Amino acid sequence: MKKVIFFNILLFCSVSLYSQTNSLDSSLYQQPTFSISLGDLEGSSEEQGFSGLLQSSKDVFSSISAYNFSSSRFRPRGYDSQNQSVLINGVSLNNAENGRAIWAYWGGLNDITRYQQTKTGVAPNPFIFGGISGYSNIAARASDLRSGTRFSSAIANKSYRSRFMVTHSTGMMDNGWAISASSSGRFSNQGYVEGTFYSAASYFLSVEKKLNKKHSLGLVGFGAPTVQGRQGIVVDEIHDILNDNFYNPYWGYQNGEKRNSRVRNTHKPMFLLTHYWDYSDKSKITSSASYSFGKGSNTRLNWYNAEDPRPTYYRYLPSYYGLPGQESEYQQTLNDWKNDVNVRQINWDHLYFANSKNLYTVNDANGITGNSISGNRAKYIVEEYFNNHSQYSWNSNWNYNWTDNLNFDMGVNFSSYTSYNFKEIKDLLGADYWVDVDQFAERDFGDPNAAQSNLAITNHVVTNGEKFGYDYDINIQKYDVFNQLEFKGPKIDSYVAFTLSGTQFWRTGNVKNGLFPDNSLGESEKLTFMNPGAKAGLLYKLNGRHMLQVNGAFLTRAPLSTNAFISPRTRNDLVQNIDSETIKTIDFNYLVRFPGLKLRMTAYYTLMEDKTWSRSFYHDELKSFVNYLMTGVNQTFMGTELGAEIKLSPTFTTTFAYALGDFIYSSRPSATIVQDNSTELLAQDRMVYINNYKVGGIPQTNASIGLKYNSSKFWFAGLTANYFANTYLDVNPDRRTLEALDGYVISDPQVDDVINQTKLNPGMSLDLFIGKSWKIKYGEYIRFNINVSNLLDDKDYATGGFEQLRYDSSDIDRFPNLVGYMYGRSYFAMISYIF
Amino acid sequence: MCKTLKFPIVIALIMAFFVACEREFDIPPITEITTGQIISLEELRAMHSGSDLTITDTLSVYAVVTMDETSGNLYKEAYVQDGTASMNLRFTSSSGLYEGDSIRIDLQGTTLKRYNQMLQLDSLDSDLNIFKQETQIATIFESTTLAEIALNGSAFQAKLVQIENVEFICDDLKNSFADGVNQESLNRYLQDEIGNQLIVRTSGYSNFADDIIPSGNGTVTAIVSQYNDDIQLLLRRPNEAQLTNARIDDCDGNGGGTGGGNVILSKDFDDNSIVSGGWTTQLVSGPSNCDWGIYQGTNSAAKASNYLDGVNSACESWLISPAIDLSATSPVLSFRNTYNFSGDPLQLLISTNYSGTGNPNSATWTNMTTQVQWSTGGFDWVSSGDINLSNYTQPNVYIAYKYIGSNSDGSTWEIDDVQIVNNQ
Repeated sequence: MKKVIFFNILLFCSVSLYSQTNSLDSSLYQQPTFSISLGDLEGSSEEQGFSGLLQSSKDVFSSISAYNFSSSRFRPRGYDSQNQSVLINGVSLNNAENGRAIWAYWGGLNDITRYQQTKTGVAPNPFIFGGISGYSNIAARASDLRSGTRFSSAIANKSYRSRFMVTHSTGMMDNGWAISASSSGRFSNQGYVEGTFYSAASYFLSVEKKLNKKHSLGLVGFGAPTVQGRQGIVVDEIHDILNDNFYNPYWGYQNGEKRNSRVRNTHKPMFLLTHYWDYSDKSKITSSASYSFGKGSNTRLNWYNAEDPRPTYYRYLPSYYGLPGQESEYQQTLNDWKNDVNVRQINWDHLYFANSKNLYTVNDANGITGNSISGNRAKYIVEEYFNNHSQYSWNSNWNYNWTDNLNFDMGVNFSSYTSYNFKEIKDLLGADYWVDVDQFAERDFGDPNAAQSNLAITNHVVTNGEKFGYDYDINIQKYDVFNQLEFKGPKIDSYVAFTLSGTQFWRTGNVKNGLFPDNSLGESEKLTFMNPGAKAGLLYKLNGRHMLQVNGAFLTRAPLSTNAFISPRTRNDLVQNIDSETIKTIDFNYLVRFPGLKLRMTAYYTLMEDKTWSRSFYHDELKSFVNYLMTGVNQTFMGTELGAEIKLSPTFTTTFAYALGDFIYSSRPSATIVQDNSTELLAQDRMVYINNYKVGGIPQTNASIGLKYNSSKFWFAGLTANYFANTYLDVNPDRRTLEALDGYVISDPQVDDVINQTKLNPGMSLDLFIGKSWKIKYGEYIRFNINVSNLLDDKDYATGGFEQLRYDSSDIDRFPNLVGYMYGRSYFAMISYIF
Repeated sequence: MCKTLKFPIVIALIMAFFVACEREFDIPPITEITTGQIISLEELRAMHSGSDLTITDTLSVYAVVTMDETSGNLYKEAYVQDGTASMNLRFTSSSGLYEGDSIRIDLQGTTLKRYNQMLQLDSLDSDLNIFKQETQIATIFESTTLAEIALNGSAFQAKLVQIENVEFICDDLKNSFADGVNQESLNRYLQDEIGNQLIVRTSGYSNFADDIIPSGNGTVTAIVSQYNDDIQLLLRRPNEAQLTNARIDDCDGNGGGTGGGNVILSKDFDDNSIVSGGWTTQLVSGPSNCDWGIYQGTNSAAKASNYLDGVNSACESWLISPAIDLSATSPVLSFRNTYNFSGDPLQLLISTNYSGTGNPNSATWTNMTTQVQWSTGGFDWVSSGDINLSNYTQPNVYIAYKYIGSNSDGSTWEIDDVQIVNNQ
């Protein structure tokens, strides 16, 4: 026993040393995310696929699909993940700004998060009203966590290469205390994709004290500091040149070492103090006060009066030389791409070189007349942009067991959230300083003040670690109340629930921008929304084996603050006509439960109306972020789900899941296009003709068939075949406007190239999993398991991507689609010791 | 024993993992580019002997930047001088240079060539070829006359010059340097007292493209450029055209003297720009094809029509003058007009409270339509006759042409040679 512990200490100490000399990484589900919202410029793979959350679901379809469809970016019923409520001890973990639960903030705590209560779709929920995709509640109460100790060590070849985890839970001890702790580390010097790295730690502590028969107090704290070098997706031209679908444009050599320009660094811990009050046998009240805060940042290159340092800039690609007579340039560029790593990746050494000799004198520097500063002005820098936050919340639930058949739940939630958004100079790359002015405004406006990011310090000379560019807060205050009545009878189960929530948000600008001196500093208008909702469901038991069920919900939802400001980095202006969205949904289910057969068949129809949609991208010619906003976006989600688990024999089980959906846009929204650094609107109230276009980025057809063998000798093996089809790329709204087709006659075949939606090819994967456990003695086990995904090593299945927002309607191939691919064969192997 | 040990272990592990840190990178050694032999700009110019020359030797030249890209009047270009000569530099991308930068140019790999007669040092890479030594060094101009440049322009190539006693020609007055809205470069003409002329060429991308050219006489400081046989002056900034003295040519057509009406506003659309000189169009309603545009011809005009691909569209489209200062004048408006096809008549309106931007219907407009001699159709051009504006002698006056089309019909209207003269 002691030996084992000693061994583990050695193991972990060596790991921690390793983590200090290398860079780190974290998220389990490393699919790149392609959509970009205003608040999260570069997209975020922080958002977890739903898979980890639903694998513990008791629902036959959800558990199969969660496990098998995760590599294809499948989303249940096509819904955005903000419809999925994730809770810990009943307290919401969904981010107030973008509505999504961000897995990375508690990544690596699998030993804790595996204990979830999960329901899919519209369902009764004792904690909150929740979203229409269902909920997962992570049970973090120390006395609920199974007592024992567990060490595990894993190797993999995805975003991380190695993982170590230790968890210990006491259960409720005789002295009235229960304690549970978990910690892990995940590392790679380079993940599956070249130039990525991963270094993550995580910690979790839950302490509970039973005060007396009726009262208990619990304290939970957790966090996951994570540093991760990211991957990006590119156009297929590059995949073809390099014969590599996993080319990563974000890294390059510096002094012979691989350096990634896009490093994500997050650490957003959360603490909860919970009071459990068993008021009577039938009634309990649970109240939590929680606080979370922390840092979320990403880095990227920025440049001033210099060439675009990104290797994939369209003018650096062979295709830029596509005209007759440019054959030699084409060939030269092609050869450079194939043979010169400093052409196809970032040339860090050159960035240092360029910065080393760019002598410049800033006059009237830092707002002081006559103050001249001379030195090497940075042409290239690495900037770090932050989305830090703090959030307080209060949550109380009353669960009342009225009679044997009747349950009543009600809850009150309040939260106050503030995010702090700004950027800093991360690395001057050898230069002496950076001047905080906007290049575009500098060129285009005679007024020298127009180019100033901060009028309080004009010609601001900034160096490493200093803030520049923009600085604003988003404040969100939210309360909601809900109540729910649930009836369970011999023939009929039913429930009904109502909610009312209030949301208020506003922007606080911390600097006065030279282009927007009147509406950048101070508080914006405060938007207030009041949102009611109702849901109900009925389950009719034909007999003990066959059941019919119907669920429905009708609710409105406040728009997300990330979609509400036309250019939050620079000003307080709000999207015009912004309104709450309306959600209507209904589903019909047929459930079968035999000992050897579990089956669910479902048909659903959902309408989401008046959504607001936003995206940003960097436009190199405007030297600015350009923001696309759509209001009045309607989406319709319609489809069927079938899940079945059949026990063929005591040892063989087969599973089957099939999801056929039709997810479409069902309105003609109105678009506004603005750039961060201009007062001029690039477009306003432009009608977007996307009615009946498909919702992109997700396979609308998914199928899975699996066979699992369970040996009585404590081992198992399984094989699953998965099929994904009808994946579309999400559309660039501006390409579906009258203006985009200006200059075309309607019979021109190029019109189709501009407006047609890209459909990706269907894909297949074969996954294998094997596990074995050994019993050492009573309560002491060693387990081993290995999962191999994409056994056939198919590297050509495109899982998603996006149409570039920048486009040229006269030459649509000039800015082609960016496409991402499913990883080839990958594995995860783990050995754990439980005692 | 085991039980008691477990906890400290777990805590220790938590502490151990708490550190998630980033890699620190070494700063790469900076490559030194050897200076080689140093030559002067004069020697560099002399190296060109009629055909393109790509320099392969390690040569350097030291120079001071006389004109940069800050104003937008140059793109991927710069001008430099040393004590001996001047040179036009062309870069593969933005130069990153600023006026007054003292630089060393590493000449290896660059090309000397004549581009439409202009001698240039081409294919410069701002990172690889330029080494900044000092900043904010004073630039030196050469004083000369317009006549001298007109006579022997090539000798002045790339030089910074100052010319005294010049003014813009009468036809250019009231016009802007270039068409900034459509980003079109335009030529304006300077003249001296005996009628020698020289082009002032301004990029439509420059930040002073839409500034109205100064109307007086005075001194101009500029860079001399050449495009085939045309010698062109490039302004570094508009205030280097210091033309504040009284004109010599008062534009009465008699080449001197006073008397006669002087022109307050003149727009002939011959630059094929609807908006040059500060004119604007406002499409209040209807599709974009209703907007005012240019009818291009040897004598271009402004044009409005609601007809496209066999369809008439309901629309309201305005062509609006810049703010005109009519105070202390006796103004008279005239223009030429024509139309064809049936439809609503064109309207002439005048306002003293329009803001200059936005929907014109938010301002007060007086309808002057009945005071105009209008075309009788069939694209017959007529003159409007003199329209007396003496009721509007105020500093901010706008005139406007309001075009109306319907779904069932619509005329095509053209307007040309809009002029307001002071009849005092």
